[in-house]
Amino acid sequence: VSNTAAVPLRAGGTVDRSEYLYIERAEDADLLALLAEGRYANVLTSRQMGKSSLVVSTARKLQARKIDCVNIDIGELGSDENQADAYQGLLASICDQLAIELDLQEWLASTSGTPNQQFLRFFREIGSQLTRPVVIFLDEIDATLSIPYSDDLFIAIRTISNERAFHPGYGRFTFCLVGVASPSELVKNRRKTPYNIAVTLELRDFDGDRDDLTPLLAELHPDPETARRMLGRILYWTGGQPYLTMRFVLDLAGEGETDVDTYVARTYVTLQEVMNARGHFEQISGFIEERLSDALATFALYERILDGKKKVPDLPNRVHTQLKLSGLVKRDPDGNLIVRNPLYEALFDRRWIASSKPRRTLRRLRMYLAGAAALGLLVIGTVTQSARIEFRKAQSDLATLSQTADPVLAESAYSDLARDNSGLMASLVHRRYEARVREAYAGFTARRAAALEKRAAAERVRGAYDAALLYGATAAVVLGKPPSAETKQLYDQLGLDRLRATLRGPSVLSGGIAVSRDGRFIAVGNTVWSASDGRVAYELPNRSVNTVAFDEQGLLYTGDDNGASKRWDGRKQKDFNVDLPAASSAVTAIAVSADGTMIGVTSADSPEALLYSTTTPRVITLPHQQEVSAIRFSANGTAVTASYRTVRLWSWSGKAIGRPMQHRDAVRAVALSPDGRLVATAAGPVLTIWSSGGVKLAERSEPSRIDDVAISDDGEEIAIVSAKGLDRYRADLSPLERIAVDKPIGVAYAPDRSWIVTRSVTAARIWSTNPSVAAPRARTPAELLADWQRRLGLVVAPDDQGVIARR
Amino acid sequence: VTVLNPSKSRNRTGARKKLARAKFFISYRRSEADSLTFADAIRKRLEEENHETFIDTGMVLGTDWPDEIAERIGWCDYLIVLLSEAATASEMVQAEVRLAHHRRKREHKPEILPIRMNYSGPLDYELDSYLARIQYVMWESADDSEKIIQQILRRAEGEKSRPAPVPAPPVPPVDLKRPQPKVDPRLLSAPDGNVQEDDPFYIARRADEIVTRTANTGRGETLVIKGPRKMGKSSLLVRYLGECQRQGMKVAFLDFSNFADAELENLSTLLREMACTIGEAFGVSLTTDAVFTVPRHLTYFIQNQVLPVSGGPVIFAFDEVDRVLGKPYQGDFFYMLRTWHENRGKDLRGRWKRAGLAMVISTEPYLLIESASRSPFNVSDPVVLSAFDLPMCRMLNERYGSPLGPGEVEELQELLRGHPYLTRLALYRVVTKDIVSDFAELVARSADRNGPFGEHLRALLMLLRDKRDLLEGMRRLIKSEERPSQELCDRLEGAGLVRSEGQRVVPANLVYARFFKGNL
Repeated sequence: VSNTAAVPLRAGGTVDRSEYLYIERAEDADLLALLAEGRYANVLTSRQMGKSSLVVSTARKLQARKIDCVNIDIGELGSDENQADAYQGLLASICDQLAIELDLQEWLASTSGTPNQQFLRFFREIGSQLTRPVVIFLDEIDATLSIPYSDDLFIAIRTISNERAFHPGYGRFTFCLVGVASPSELVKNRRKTPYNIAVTLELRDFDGDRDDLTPLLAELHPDPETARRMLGRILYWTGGQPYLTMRFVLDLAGEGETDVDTYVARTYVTLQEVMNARGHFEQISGFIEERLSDALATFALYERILDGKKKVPDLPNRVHTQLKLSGLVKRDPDGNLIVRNPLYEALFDRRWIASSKPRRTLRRLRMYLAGAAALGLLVIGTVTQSARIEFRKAQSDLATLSQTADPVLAESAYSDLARDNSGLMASLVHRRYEARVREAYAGFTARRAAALEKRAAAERVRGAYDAALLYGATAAVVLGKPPSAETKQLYDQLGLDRLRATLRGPSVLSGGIAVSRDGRFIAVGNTVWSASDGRVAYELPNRSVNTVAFDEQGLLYTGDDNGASKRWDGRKQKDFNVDLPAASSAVTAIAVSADGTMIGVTSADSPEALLYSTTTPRVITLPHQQEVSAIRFSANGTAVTASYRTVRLWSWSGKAIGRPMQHRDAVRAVALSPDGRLVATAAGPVLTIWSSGGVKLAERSEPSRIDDVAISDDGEEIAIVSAKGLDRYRADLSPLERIAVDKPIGVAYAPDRSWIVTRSVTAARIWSTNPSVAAPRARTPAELLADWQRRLGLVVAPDDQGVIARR
Repeated sequence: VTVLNPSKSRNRTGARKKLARAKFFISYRRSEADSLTFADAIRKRLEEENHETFIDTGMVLGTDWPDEIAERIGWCDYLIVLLSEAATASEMVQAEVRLAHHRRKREHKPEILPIRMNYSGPLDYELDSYLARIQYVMWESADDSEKIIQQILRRAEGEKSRPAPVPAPPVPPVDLKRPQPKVDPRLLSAPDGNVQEDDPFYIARRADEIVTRTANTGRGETLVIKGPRKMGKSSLLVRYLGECQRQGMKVAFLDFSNFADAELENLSTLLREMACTIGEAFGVSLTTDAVFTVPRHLTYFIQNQVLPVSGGPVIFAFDEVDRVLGKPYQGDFFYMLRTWHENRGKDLRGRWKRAGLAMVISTEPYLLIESASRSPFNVSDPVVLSAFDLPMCRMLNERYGSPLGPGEVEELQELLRGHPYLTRLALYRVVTKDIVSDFAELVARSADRNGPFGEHLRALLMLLRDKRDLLEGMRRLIKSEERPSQELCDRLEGAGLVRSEGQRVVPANLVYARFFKGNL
């Protein structure tokens, strides 16, 4: 059978059998029989099942039996069109297709009544003039879901059907609805009678035993044995889904590939890629996004079916129907739902479920069921003592949750309800209860978000505002809605993914930032934290600190507003061996050598940087033209200073090294690598890397002014902070990453550069430099909330009218 | 050129002091001596007469620059265009005339006064579509200057009498001396009905094969050509349509880039315009009472009035159909095109069976229509046009007589990443030496505003003027290597400005990278 098929194959779109290959199924004969007898029928099934092609094929056969056909695309009615215009379009199309000579506009003008009355009258009058029966196919019927007057349309069609005995005109017409919808969802108003006048056909997948698929063999391969083997594998992968089957045949034949499994492995690797290339998969996920009325329940059902451990019988409820309409699952011969084919099973897998919208709902669902289990047990009267206790508790928890605005009570009630107790709940699913828990919790979060927002607006408490957003986000998560753009922005803004800890001390932190040389402590102004747990280790009594530095023993050196330079052992001031003369004005920068014997100081209004030795009463003056604003030391006896637009490198003996480094703007910050080889300067928006000799090695311009710069101890990395956040670069200034940090003004590296600390006026924050060591994700909304609170440094204050404030 | 009769001119100035002054924008190509001298003379005389003039004498480029040009087009009462042979292919002159044309559609201003600078040849396709109905004045030598200036002055006085018209020259035989920024679809209406595909520099890509195959199935097909700007999409479409014509199909071609923005605002206007063009191609005229308020009306018009008279296979071709992006009606509009495709099978009377559809887009379809089941762009696998690869560049170099030596083709590829238009332009520049003396200079000056690609780059800035978000995304990408959002990435890619390399997004080529770095 080596001759190729006379008619070509097509995948997707409406196929006219006179042009392209058409595969008949058992349903073809069923539909024809129904319509030929004048019985109303529906073809309602998932996308790309060959519905429209079936319509065209059936219409051709009906025409051969002297039954006229009209094929109308409901999707062409604009959703914002008014009813009268849309009806006119519909009737015009009927006239056109039946070749009825009628000036419709005039006819409509000469008749009165509502659009529906005119519509019905049209069928009565036209019908009585017709000599042959007419079948009207209404394709893309799902478009009516977005048309406001669609209920009227279906009522009119039902009238035509119901009153055919009274009006011969009506009797001429038979309607067939075609599309992706269930009969029950067509009529939107629940109080009206549903569209129940037609037989709904279930269009099944291709089946080698039932349907004649031999035309496909000729397409696939000249050798019948090879072709049969290939078709077998194709049907295995596609489950006979018509579009996919055709697509496979076309692609395999086109590529000359005979190994179906290899082709699948090569072509259908990830859903993302397949979706870009194949609209089919996009349509499935599109349906899931647009049409599910209860995404939570639908995903739960799909997960159960995908899991495959237990049989899931097909039930006549909305969730089941919608999942079937998505095309993902079908009913097997035993009446159980199964995933449509191995290809979907591989692509629409657990990862897909997890990444699709109601991300956390499934796990939470299970949690609710724990509570539901207790209730269920009571209901069927097999209550054990412990279950009874659990039930009572669940009930009281639920009551608490529905009423309280107190976060402590609510969280504890919720977490009890949500405790994973899956052993108990196994077969006892009580949807109503689960929904109540969800609603109660969502209600609480919404109440809370509203209260916080009010407070944020009234008192301008930024923390309250952030907290309101977080509650809003949690409510969204609980209800399976996407978080608001604002919440997402907050999340990004705060770089929460990378944030290890927020360090808080006094409401306004004093100046400077430094990390101890062993990486255990962080000092910002007069507050010192432990880097490992983020707690305050000690606070210096001196509140007017401007600048800080550590030596290798962990002693902290400070310069303050009063012109004093001091060193501290914990909270205790530790005198220097020699008297350091106080500066006449505020100390603006301080640097210290590792062994603590050399101290560099700059002060306001002074054009000199001073180097003190703590072993000899010697003072070395580094002279400048203008006020010196910054000083830093390397580990090998050099210092770098910044004075207005000039940066200079010095030896500790006071000798200038290399050329002065000139800038276009005033230099705001300077950093020196411990080996003394690299100098990083920030002047205005420009970040420059210099060699110790004063040669410009690299330069880049930032979008906004740079406030501070740091070099990692190994000299491999540069970090800067600006209004845009924290930026990390390699030493050649090739960018590593940007972390969105809120208004940072200072930055310092951990010795091993595994983290970076930034400070703003009110808080310091530790950021992980390694994305994979980001903080673990919380598992439940309550934990999520707690986690967010912790990381943002928010504290629950239950007595304060349910308001959260930042410490 | 000297100004004749200065005394007379002075007298006239005195006489006209009370008259309202007119505002003139003078558009010309600066690299041409004649145009430069004449433009300067016009400017001097107009200013002597107290008229206001604007003339682009080399403003500093930057994000404000396109605004300045656009503002001035919005400001002027008259746009004087000096059309030398080189100017007709100038993307900047095109951009200025385009802006003026669009504004005129809206505000009936400015009046465009084309002056042909000793050139009576054909106009570029885009310019022609704007200027076709406007009469020309011919400048042949400096002797004509005064006469023409007088005409302009009289016009400014409000004198309606028009100068003796010079008839528009006929459509040319194909002679692509300089690579055209856009292919000329007028070729389709060449006398023998065949596209002349003797362009010796045309490099066939894989897409050409697919397109030829599609034209030869003998069925109605839906062809979608997709690719960034200036990848040769329109050219491919014209080739496809040419092939279709050879197969005996009738072609109705509509280039959406010719629509003024104002014309796209309203769905009815657009549908009516489409009906006109399609009707014209089949000799069907619109009745005055024909209503086009919803897409369905156009579908019926074609079904009931066009298809019955077509008498054979037809093809509806829409270039840059994604210009309706962002319009409130876009979903309904694209669904209409989808129904045309579906009607091939669905229409029980078989009227649409031989109706083909061809569309060119540079935007990702999901931005055009959300619902996959309503989109006309996924009914067939789109033909994706990609850049030239190295062997293609080598081939092109050979066709130009191998002006580039060993290693230089690779360097060019490095510079342009196979950008089809720029690659051709580069070879053309090296061969003609009109702007650069050799390849090294071409590379060195590649991002100059007056360099070998200057026209193109400035026109690009001009095009981006209204698209602030694109500019901003580009600026951030270049200045701070910030990855734009996925949607913005797709739009930037569609505009041909960036390309994706795995997860990274980078400027489409080195020339763009350098140019935008200096000018954003």
